[in-house]
Amino acid sequence: MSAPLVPPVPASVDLPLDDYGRALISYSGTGTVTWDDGSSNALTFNAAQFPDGRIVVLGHYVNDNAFRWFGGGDQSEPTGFTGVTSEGWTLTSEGNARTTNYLPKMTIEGSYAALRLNQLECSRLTTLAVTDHRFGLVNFDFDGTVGVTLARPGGTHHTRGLPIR
Amino acid sequence: MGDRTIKGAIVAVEDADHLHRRVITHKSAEVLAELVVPKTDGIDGADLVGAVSDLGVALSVMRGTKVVWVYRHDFSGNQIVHTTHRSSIVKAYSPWAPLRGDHDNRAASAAFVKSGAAALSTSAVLKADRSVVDAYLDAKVEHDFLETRAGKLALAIEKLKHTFVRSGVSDVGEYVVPDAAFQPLVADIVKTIRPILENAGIPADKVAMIASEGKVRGLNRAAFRGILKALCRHASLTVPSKEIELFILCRDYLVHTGQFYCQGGTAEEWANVPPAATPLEEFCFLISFLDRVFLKLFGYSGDYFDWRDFPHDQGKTRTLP
Repeated sequence: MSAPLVPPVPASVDLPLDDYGRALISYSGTGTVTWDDGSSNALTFNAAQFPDGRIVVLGHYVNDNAFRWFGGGDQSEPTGFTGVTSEGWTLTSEGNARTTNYLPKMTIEGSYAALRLNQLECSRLTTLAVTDHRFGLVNFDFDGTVGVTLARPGGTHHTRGLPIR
Repeated sequence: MGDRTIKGAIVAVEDADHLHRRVITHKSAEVLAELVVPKTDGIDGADLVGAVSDLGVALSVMRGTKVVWVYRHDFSGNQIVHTTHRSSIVKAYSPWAPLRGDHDNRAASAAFVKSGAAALSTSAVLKADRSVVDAYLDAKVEHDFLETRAGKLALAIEKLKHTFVRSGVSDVGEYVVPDAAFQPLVADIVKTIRPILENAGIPADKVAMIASEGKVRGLNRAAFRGILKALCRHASLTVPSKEIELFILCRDYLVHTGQFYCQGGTAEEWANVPPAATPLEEFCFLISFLDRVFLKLFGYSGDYFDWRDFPHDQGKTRTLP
């Protein structure tokens, strides 16, 4: 059996995403970037949203095609990103992706690139019904007027909230 | 568009106190709270997102800082089953709140939320162009020099004035008489003025600069003072004439000289309209004026912090009738 022409991407990487800031929510896994010329690249990524809303995907590629992300190759632009994390999240982003002109200093050999997304959808297979939606509000400070009981991944919280009617 | 009424509660994130101190110190942005909305049949995704975005505008005015949502978790009990991350335009936290978020102001905050979200769909001005709110909030961000921020306030009032005039809610328009009626008179007015200037010995090239058609057309533009007063009337905001005059001079100096009135005004102007004691006090006056206009546009009456008091008494509150 002959060796594959393109080696497979590693299952995970630990890229210096904190160079872009302190992550609010982060993901790690493998995925694909698609381009407006119809081509695609496999990558291993770290992705995160930062408190100022930025969504950054920092990728490690097994070939050098990714250098075009910096305008070094043809003028293709990314049109989509999909990925899967080890925790079972499926990540998708279609349209409005754009390359960045900044890359942290990398100490492990490989080809790297980063892009920013306008929106990123993260879901996992489940039969559980949605019970509530929680929107993360930037810069809103308040003192609550009513008692609120909230189930969080770390346990149930009994706190005070500001009612919206 | 379907039903955009939402019910729920805003809850602080787990480390909100720490993060709040952080954004004040670093002049940065953080998710400080989550809006929790129970799943409701009949409100689809777009309507829900629209309602939350509207609420964010009202919360922004209340706190004097841009409040936007950047992620949405769909929960099932205590488990996240879906997340949407959104790269919104986020601004650094500003502490210039007319309604502060502390314990003493919680009732005022609750009252504002009630009136504020509704105003976005009922106020003709806010329906015409809600980006007037962004212009006003942007002047409160503390990254620029004080003059530059005050200049942004002047820009915000121009934008608000323009939106107000275009919204058609007032009989005060952009022009004193319809432009179509005034335009045919312009050439005759120019012809009438020029001999007066020439007879006074003013060189022809300068006469042409003074009595140009563009300048004469400007005679028909409604005065800023009249529009500002009409805007205050529309918002049911009572402002003493002295404040209106001071606001106009502050705005004029910022727009035309890039200076505060208290720095650039003449002795004669100061005698007629006393300036603020310092640039900071003048800035606080401008903030106070716009705060009151926006609070009233959002339908609020009640206690608020008037930034004119900031240099002297930071604990005082006033009541907006």
